[in-house]
Amino acid sequence: MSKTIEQRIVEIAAERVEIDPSLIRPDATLDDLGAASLDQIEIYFAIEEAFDIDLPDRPEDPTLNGLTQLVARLVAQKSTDA
Amino acid sequence: MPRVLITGLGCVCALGEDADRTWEAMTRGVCGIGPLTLVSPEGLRHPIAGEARGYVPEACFDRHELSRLDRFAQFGVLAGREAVADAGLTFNGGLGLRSAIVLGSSIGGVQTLEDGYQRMYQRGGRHAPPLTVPRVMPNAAVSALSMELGIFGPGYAVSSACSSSNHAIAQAFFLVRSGQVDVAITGGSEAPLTYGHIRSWEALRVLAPDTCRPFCVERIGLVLAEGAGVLILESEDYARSRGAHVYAELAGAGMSSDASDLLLPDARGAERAMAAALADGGLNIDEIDYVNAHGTGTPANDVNETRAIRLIFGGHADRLAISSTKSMHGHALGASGGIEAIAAIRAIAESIVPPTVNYGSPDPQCDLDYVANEARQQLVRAALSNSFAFGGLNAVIAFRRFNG
Repeated sequence: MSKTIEQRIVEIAAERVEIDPSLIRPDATLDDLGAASLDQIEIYFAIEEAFDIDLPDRPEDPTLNGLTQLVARLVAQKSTDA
Repeated sequence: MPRVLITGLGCVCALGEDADRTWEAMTRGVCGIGPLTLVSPEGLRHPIAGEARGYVPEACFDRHELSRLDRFAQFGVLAGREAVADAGLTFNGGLGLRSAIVLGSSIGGVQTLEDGYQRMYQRGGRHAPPLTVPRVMPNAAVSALSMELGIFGPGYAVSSACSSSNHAIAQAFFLVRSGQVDVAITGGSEAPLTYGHIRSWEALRVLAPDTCRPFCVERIGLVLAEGAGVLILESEDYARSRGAHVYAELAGAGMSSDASDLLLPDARGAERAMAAALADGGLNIDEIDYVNAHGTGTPANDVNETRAIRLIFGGHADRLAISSTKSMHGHALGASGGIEAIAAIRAIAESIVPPTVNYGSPDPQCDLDYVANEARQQLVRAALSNSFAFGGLNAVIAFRRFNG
């Protein structure tokens, strides 16, 4: 896997809200990016599919940084379980 | 009671992507039924359908809209947009508060449901696609139109299998006639051509293997189809105040339940619905010149409907022009009544009766004038449009020529 988790999450979000990924700051939340509620649901789904994980309904830290850490934890957990 | 007028039409079906093209194809007796292309025919016994072949989703909706709308809702929105534009309406300045949307669908977003479940059950997907619930809901097209157009009045979907559109039109008619709203958008939409849904219909053993031939002795069954038919209903006062073009008057609506068999129709139930529509519209039997029949092309329906027409019309039955436009656009289930309303309305407006195509030899049990194979030029003072559903639910709409 060449891209980092953060890069992939930023790409997923950027694709959905149609802005240039380079403009997205890691401390932004999906709200900050102007993602409507339906867009946010779809972004969570795309992240779940991309990493084959289950995200909680409402992540505690909704920034992209927070999501990156959460996803990294869930991915690590998965490989331990397996 | 105040009159309710029809001032706009919108349609997408196997005959065309708008009401004008659909009507023009009907007057030429075009059959839009053909090989199924939306679904792989592998494993299907009857791989034919009335597909909206000319419909290109990406030409009508952006990526976000497409992610939110199942195909059935796309059809509803598309026909709704067309009908509103045809009527020349905008919903600002308070009209949005005085307008309603009531659309029919028998099964809502079945394609979304089937794709989502297949992904989970078969392909090992872990997650249901996130917009499954709002895409599947049968009111999806109503909601999308209300948001797009700014309509703040009553909005809901009506479901009664193959009568869904006619029941919806009846509801919208009552809303306008009672004065609760000035304008109503109504009709129905359906996109039932999925592998699982077609297989389910095959199991009922009512599908034709090649084409739909209503009322003739060679008929074998119905042909599934998709699309939408949408009308704009307007109070006479409002239509006059803005100088709207009027296609026809929606004169009355009649509904009944067979309360007998789940699948077999009952002529008495159909008769009662037609009688109720005539009474509601204050129409005499001999004012009706045309009946757009339910005419599915199944052995059971067409005999039953013929009997019902004889029961209610008596001797006048032999003077009626009767046709099943399903022979051309197929059976679009909950959208059928909307598409067929357009046929009846344009027949009145243009004095042309659309035909029953694919008609072969007469069936002694179906002994009326079915306008076989070719459209006919004739005055249509008033018309009925019949829908009879599985489950024994009947709805009939009566239209009358508008003379200003």
